[in-house]
Amino acid sequence: MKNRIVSFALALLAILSLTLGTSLAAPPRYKVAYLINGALGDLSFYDSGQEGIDRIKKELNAETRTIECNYDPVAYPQALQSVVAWGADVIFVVSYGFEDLLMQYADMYPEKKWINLDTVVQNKKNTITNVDFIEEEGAFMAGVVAGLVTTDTSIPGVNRDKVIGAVCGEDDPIMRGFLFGYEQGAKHIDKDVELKTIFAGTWDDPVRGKQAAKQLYSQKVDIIFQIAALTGSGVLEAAKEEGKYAIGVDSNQNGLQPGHVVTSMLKHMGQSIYRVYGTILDGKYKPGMVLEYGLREGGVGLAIDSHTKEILPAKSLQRVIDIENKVKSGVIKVERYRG
Amino acid sequence: MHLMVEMIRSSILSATPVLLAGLGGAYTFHANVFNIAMEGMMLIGAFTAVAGSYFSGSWIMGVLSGIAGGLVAALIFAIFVVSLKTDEFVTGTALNMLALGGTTYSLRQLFHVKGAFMSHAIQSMPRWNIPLISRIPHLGPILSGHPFIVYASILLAFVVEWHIFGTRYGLRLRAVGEDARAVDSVGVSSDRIKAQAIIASGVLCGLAGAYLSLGYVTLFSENMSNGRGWIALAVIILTRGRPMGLLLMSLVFGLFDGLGLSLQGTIIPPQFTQMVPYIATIVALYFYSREKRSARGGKETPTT
Repeated sequence: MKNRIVSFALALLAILSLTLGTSLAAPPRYKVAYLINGALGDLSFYDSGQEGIDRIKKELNAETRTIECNYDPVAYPQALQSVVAWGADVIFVVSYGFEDLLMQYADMYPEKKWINLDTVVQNKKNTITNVDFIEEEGAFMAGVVAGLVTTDTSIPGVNRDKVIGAVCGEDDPIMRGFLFGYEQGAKHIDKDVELKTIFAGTWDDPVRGKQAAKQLYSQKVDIIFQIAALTGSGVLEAAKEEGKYAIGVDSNQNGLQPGHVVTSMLKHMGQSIYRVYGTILDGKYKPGMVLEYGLREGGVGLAIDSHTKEILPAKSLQRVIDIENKVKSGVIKVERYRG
Repeated sequence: MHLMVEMIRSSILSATPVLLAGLGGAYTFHANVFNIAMEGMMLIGAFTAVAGSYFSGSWIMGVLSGIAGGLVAALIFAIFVVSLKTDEFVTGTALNMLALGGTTYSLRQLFHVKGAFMSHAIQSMPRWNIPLISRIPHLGPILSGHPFIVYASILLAFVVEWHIFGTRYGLRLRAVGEDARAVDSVGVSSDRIKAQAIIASGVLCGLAGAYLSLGYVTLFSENMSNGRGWIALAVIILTRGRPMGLLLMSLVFGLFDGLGLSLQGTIIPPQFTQMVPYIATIVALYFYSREKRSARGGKETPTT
């Protein structure tokens, strides 16, 4: 039903753009599509990407369309088809769940610029450029913060046991990468830190997220890294209720439960989209690349603001910044997760 | 807090929405209305509760708007199913889709957010700390400190049991379920009783929704009922609409729901532990059905 409405709306938009479009023609006005497997409104990953799209529309004169698939596999081929039918020149796509389809379409339309975000997908003609976030580096920094919190009993609510937690959405290689980096970061602070993880099995059930978080807090966990989109908003609430701590993900969630969200690990989808689009405009873009965006490239990072300073002592905060610089300069090497 | 204590505590909390919706569904079950719209009614209730609480600044108004939301959904369902005699299954499906699309749309229009709406202006239900009991170690946190609806819903299970099986109205309700024409023939409108049953289920589903969005968490997110209305439907069919059975089964479901999460610390893969509540439901269904058949002499096929 929803798909039909979406495609109907798209058809309308297509007609509108035919009749009204191109009247404001200015230097290279590309048609840019943002095609996502999920939906906007996660306050994080997809929304961050949308910010980048909005920015290139405003600043770089692009004509943009966003197509949400709502995790509905039936919508994937329709979405790809409608992007092609619209005549997009540049397509930013989060293809988790339809990688094979994306390869087929990229092979069929090699003249289009396909930029796949967050995973690596390579088609036969090798025309897809991939933005691969080094989430291990971002999660490593989240782990560093978690390690500093759980070992510091002077922070109110922190117990003597060095246990940290994580609540994930579904179990997939990206989640495993997050956890791998997170644990490394915590162990960098103290080798004895133990990690407890719960997979909620859903990305959009805050009730379940809260339930999972409360279970973890009851097992001596002091701080939980939520990597679960909407499910995670329940985790942040549990942190407040239990007087414990949480780490947000994908966008700055520090202010959602002030005093309990220490920091947030960001995947700068928007900045990365902006960066890639910049290379297209100045002609440095090459199809088939794998762009690895980590801490140094600004693809991932931590959100440190007044909320962080309220919880974390200045000494610890300085240590976070020192370690971040060491990762950036390559003095500390974060191991990457290999399936 | 100990993990075991937390698990029993959370099983009570996650049983409550299933129990409330189940009690509402018990009315429609006995009136022989196949009510699959509970999921949608719950979702609408969750949304209107948050909206009511946010705009009025009072959790009481929030709960009342939650009930009102469920009520309006039930009225739509009743008009179509009872007055216009449309198919219950089709109408229920339509109502569920309307609820999902409608709340998502209203969320964007009213609060200008997508996905989830969180605000400090949303007033949540107060939690009741029962004096004395709250101080008992282990037992205290299990029994005390819940939103009042948790206690109310347990009490309600007894009230509904009495209402359906101990009053003249209950007898008529069940008679409508058995044979509506027989009820009509003695001058009692079966349509009226059916409509009342649907409205009762709407009110209780709305309350279940309000509990989700103002009791368990304090936010609204798209599709936050997340299948709990369907679980309630399964529990009703499983217990043949007996409120005491509903109370027990929803607690069992709540326990397995929490168990599914905590088993993940072991070597069992998470994909498997996520199936635990549903496997438990199927197993319970099997044993229930077997018991039923042996009680009837093993010949009869169960009727729903």
